[in-house]
Amino acid sequence: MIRWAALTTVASTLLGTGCASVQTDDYAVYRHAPEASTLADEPVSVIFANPEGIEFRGDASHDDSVDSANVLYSGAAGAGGVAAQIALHATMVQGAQDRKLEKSREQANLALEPVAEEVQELQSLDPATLSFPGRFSVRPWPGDADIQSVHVETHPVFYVTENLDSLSVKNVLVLRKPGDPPEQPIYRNLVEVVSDRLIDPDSEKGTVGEGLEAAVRELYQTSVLIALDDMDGRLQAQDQQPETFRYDLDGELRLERGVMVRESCSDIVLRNLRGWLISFPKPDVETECMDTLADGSVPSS
Amino acid sequence: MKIKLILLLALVAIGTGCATAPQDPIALTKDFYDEPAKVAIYQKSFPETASMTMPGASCLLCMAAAAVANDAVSGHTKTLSTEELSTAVKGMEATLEEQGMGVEWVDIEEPMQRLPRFKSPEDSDYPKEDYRGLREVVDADHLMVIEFGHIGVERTYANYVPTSSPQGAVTGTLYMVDLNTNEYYLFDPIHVRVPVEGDWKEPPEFPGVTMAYFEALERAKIQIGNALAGKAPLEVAGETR
Repeated sequence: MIRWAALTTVASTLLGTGCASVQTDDYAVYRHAPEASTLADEPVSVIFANPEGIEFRGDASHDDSVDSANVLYSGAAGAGGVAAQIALHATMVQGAQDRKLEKSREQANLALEPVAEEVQELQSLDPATLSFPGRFSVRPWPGDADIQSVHVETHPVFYVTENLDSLSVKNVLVLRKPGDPPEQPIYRNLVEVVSDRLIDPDSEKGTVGEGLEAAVRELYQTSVLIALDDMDGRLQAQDQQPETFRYDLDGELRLERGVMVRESCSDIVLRNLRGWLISFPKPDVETECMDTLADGSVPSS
Repeated sequence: MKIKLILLLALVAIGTGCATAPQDPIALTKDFYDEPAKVAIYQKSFPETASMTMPGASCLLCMAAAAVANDAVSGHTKTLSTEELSTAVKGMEATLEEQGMGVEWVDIEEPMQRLPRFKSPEDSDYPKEDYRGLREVVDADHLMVIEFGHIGVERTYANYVPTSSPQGAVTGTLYMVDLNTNEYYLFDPIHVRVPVEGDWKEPPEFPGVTMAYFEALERAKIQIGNALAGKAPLEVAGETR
């Protein structure tokens, strides 16, 4: 009886470990109901859903692999004992993986130190200043109060690279209708906007702060506008096969897999295999061009 | 007791004797393309489909447990195409020709298995096999070999326990030997591993794992291109984001 209990424990531990990963808040399962386009009447009501204000993080590694020597399990205590040892081993490895990711995040967050004051100030930025007149207006999180109208919740996290000369935002946007189940919104997606030219690393400290605020506003607004266009069905792939796009960010090669849904004079928007929309700088900026969608039409934003 | 100690020492000595230092990467010299030459290219191995490996799950029961735990993602990996990398490998011919080289693909599977040992000088720029005998077989000045050990997804294990999430992975080696001197002109180990960004448990399509896989392919392609351009090896491999 004890042996079966131990074996069950180890099986569940292994399956659990096999599926283990650190849950992150910069992740969303894409959902797009057809009624999304009719509900998001402009100007759209947008809620800045981070109660603690604007959040910054360093761009951390996702590699959770750890070295772990193979362990010789003692058979002296029988199958149950071996099972218990495997379960303990799995728990130790999982702990090491979590510590590695945490250390990686802490290391990446050191990039924020040179602009710690500016970041602190930005956390108290009035969300209303992030509004885009004519398209959407932003208001702060209302707490537990019920919202009696259709609205878009936004959960942005801003990421800075090591030497502060590029900034990106990952914004999880959820279109909600009063009365709908929270887990089944009409629209939910993650929009990432990457910029390589908004913060000048050679600027004076004060200027960096101003540049940071302007960059935050621009990236946030761009992410919401992209999501609104997606809700309207304006960012559809035209039977394209996914391909891998390359771009350089702060001297580092970045790669994204997906289909291009918009190409502007300076940026490309693609939909990746998760359905997320990613806007990144074009490798070669054209001086004379016209912004177009994947179907050749001109975007509204 | 004494015999046991002697046996132990002998085992250690044999084991130590078998261990060899890995070949250091060697970049093409800038003047390689100055003189037109004939290059034979041999693709030693290329898996037709992607696959999932679980290194470290070494015992039979461990392998079985790992296979069960990763059944869904492993099955998905088998559906992923390797064509993008295959196309890039074929493109090596055009790259060399653009540089003025005469290029021919060769199939030398059998002679490659019978290469004699090469007593190299105290220099790591020479392989341990003697390729010079292939000069007449392939009718070329240099032999370029590309081989892939694994293309697909990798998840490391320590016995029964996974020590990583699945990662896109491409491993292999690209090297070129001068068939006159047996000297390496190029040695570029390919070890690309790309972690999944965010949650990887997304059955049945596993988009995160799929993106990591295709990013690994792309980084391997870039590494091959860089190697032929004479850039230092390992510029693009390894940790990405």
